[in-house]
Amino acid sequence: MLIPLLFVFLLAIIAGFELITKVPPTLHTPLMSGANAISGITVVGAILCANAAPEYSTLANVLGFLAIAFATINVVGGFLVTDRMLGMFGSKGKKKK
Amino acid sequence: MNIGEPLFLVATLLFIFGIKRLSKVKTARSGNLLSSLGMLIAIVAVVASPGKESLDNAIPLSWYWVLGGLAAGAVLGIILARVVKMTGMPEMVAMLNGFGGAASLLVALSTFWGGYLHNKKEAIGALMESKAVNQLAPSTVEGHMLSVLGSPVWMVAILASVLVGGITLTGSLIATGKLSEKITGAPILLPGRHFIVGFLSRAGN
Repeated sequence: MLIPLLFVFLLAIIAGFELITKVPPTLHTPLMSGANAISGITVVGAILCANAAPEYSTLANVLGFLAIAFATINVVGGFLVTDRMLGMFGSKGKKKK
Repeated sequence: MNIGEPLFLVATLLFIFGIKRLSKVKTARSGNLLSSLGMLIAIVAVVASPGKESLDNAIPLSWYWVLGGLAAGAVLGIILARVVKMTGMPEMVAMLNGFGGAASLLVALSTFWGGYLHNKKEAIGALMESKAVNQLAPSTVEGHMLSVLGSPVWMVAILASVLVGGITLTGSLIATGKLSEKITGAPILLPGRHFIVGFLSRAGN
């Protein structure tokens, strides 16, 4: 179980590094915001824990519920905010042309 | 095979290509859209395919927890993203990042608590089975008690998640406060820190 997880971890590090190395400075902020939205993938783990918590644990369910709510704010808010930023960016570019 | 697994693969690919497109000005917006599509697929996948074990253990209410959490988060997220002014973007991103940290912190706590109760039940069951508890060697009893905490790998993962999630949460909230100038931009230092550090460095000896 541990080794496959480490493989995924390693590949993710390499993919992240390779994807981010050549980015123009103007895109740093939206990229940071977009990557943060993607980090909201925690929501999947949160859903699993809210649902998989054993029947005798309401506390685990409540913690899972809060985790889902926070992660979803991060996901929904993150993508919308990034889109707004990039939208402004696009209109600026068009004006220049 | 679980329906969710191929969908997770699709979501992963969309994330990678989404980030790739986000790194070029022309394609950035479509990259963001692609990533958000990936997220939607991942959420649908996990909601649509409950794990084999989890379904047996889940209380009937738990799907209300899940859907309620998703709905509450989505509504709050939309409101936050709409309300924020363009000039307030950096602190908004910092705050969202903090929420992400809070989420991983809570996932770790929830996983720990669920796992702890499960292990406790198992350990008590195992002790009950070995009828003559008093005749067990102390080391065996100790072993049962220790197994309540779960495997070392599991514990390290939980601790790391709590640590990183907690640092992300508090650090991002302070960053939000500083960016919005609600708290001072100057370094915040503990009063008497030299004394504290001096004391701690002696205390080790």
